[in-house]
Amino acid sequence: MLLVRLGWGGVRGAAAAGWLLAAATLLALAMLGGAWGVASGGVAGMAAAIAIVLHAGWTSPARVRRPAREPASVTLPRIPRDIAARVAVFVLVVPVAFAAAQWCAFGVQALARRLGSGEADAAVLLLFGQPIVWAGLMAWQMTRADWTRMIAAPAVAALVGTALWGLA
Amino acid sequence: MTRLAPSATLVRRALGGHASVGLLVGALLYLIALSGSVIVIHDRWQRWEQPGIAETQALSPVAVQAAMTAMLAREAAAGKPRTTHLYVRIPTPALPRAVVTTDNGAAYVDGRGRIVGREAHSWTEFVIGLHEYLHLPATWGLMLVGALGVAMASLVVTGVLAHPRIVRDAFCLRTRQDPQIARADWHNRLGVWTLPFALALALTGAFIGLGGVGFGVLARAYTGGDLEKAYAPIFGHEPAADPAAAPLADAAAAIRAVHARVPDAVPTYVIVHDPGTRGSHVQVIATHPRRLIYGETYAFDAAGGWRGPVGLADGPLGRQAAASTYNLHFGNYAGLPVEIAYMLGGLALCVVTATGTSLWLGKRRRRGLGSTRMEAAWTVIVWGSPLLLVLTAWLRGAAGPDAPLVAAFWTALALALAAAAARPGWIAAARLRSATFASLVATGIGHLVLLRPAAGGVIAIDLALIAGGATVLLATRRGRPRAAPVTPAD
Repeated sequence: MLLVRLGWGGVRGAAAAGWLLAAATLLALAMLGGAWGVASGGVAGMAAAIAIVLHAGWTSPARVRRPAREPASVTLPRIPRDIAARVAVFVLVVPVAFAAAQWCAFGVQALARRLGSGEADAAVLLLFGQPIVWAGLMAWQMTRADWTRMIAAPAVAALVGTALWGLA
Repeated sequence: MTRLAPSATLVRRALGGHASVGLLVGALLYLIALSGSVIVIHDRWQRWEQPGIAETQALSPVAVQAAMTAMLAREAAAGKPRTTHLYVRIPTPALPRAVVTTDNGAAYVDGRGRIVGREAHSWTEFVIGLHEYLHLPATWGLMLVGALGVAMASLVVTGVLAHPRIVRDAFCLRTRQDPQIARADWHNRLGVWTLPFALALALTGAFIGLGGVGFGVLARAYTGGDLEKAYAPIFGHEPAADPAAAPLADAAAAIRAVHARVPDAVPTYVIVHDPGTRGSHVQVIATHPRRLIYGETYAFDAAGGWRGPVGLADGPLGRQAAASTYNLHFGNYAGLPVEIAYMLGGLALCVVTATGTSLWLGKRRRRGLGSTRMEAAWTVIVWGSPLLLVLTAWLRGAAGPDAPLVAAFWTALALALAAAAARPGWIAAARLRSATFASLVATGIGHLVLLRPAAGGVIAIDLALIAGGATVLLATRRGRPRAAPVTPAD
């Protein structure tokens, strides 16, 4: 991380060398210690980076500078139509996307079973798949311009789940 | 009207989505991150909470058997209903105490298996309950916390999309500029550098919280609604029950068998299912060094006869992955250094969460849309909730382990929020912040003086509380110029 920091400060090539070294270290840890090695190495890297950032904060100069007057990225709804739109967003992003992700993950595990995967592996595909798909749907939906454009993503996920279940 | 480039509109939409999700779940995420940071070392807190209990570094197989026998005899004498499970927790470096637990309660035992005191770490359990299910009924609470994990994962993704200068600003932290600039830097820098950590915690938390729903779906689809059968491919099958009376299972033989067959494994829990019945069987959970799995489960019959491992250590990849989520989430896979890193990482997530909403409130204020009530309420969440966690520890100390900690915490938080809404002028962030860190110092000193702990690990926690609280109190005294007035949420 020190190399990455030096590279960020202007030493040409140091950042790339730092990232390469970090990747090589994680690879070596993966080979030597598996998931345990990667997790331990990742935590050490994160801690080193945060220590460097905190040092930057401690030594940052005191200045008086007014920030830009940006509008808040979200406004509070005041009229019934806005409130209804927020409710629609919530319904689409929480229960609808949850159910769609569940069905999609179920389809994935059903197909995995059909293709000869063991019960444990198939079950874990469902258990891990649901939150990952739901988080992806949520991120996709929350970057749409309005609630009507948030319908497609869970619909596609549900269709994928149905198709996979059909194949199984 | 000027059309924005597609990438610019994506950044704006991502920022809008990021803010919307953050505002919706910010307070609950903050409470979960805060309590999660505390309970990374829950074993050490348990020891801190009851410093007077006799400790032991090891528990022999004979002592395990003696502890189980003693606990059952004690409960029978007290007229308590027969337990369906009997657990013995083996001492570890983090908690050098043995605990025997039944459906009716738990007690510490000494190195010979004799009961030496009630396990009464109600404050530690209160904080664990806040983190794991927000003190709601367990099933619904776990689901809600799991869903919050998903929301956190989506916040990570939208946060990256909303931050086009992620590389350029990677090491820039302007702590002593205008509060709004400082907040933005804290939010973005800690958010970026904790990104893999936050994503790992969010997804493993979601896996743990929403796993019940997934197993429910599997049960409906494949096992006729039988949840135990749905869990079996991952956590192992359980033999059929037989309620006919029988002697207590031979747990000592089971432990000896683990030592003999798997010398590297370190037993941490011994579980006797349906003790005192013919259907009784034994499980020994043992950790494997330098593995992310929480342990392997070794199964035995009532006589201590070997049935074999479940396969968490070397079974199908899915089973190993499922068994690895818990340690990856709780940070207890590489000793104290990683635990400390997880605590600091958790506190960084608290800062990210707190500054996120503060940034939004600050932007509104600068546009003339400020709400002193909302800002005061957010101040209560950010500085009031950690203060209340400390005060509940004092309540536990003063009123004993049966003190109503959950009711006290939520009632006080609700009253403080009501006060913030009714009289926002009463809520001053600087005073609450100082009170929080001063309370840490007072707690460390009070614990040292009043309870006089002897164990080095417990004294170290007290010293860390004193040093941590005092350092932050001194650090916040560092002068910094302000271009804007101090706001409640600073």
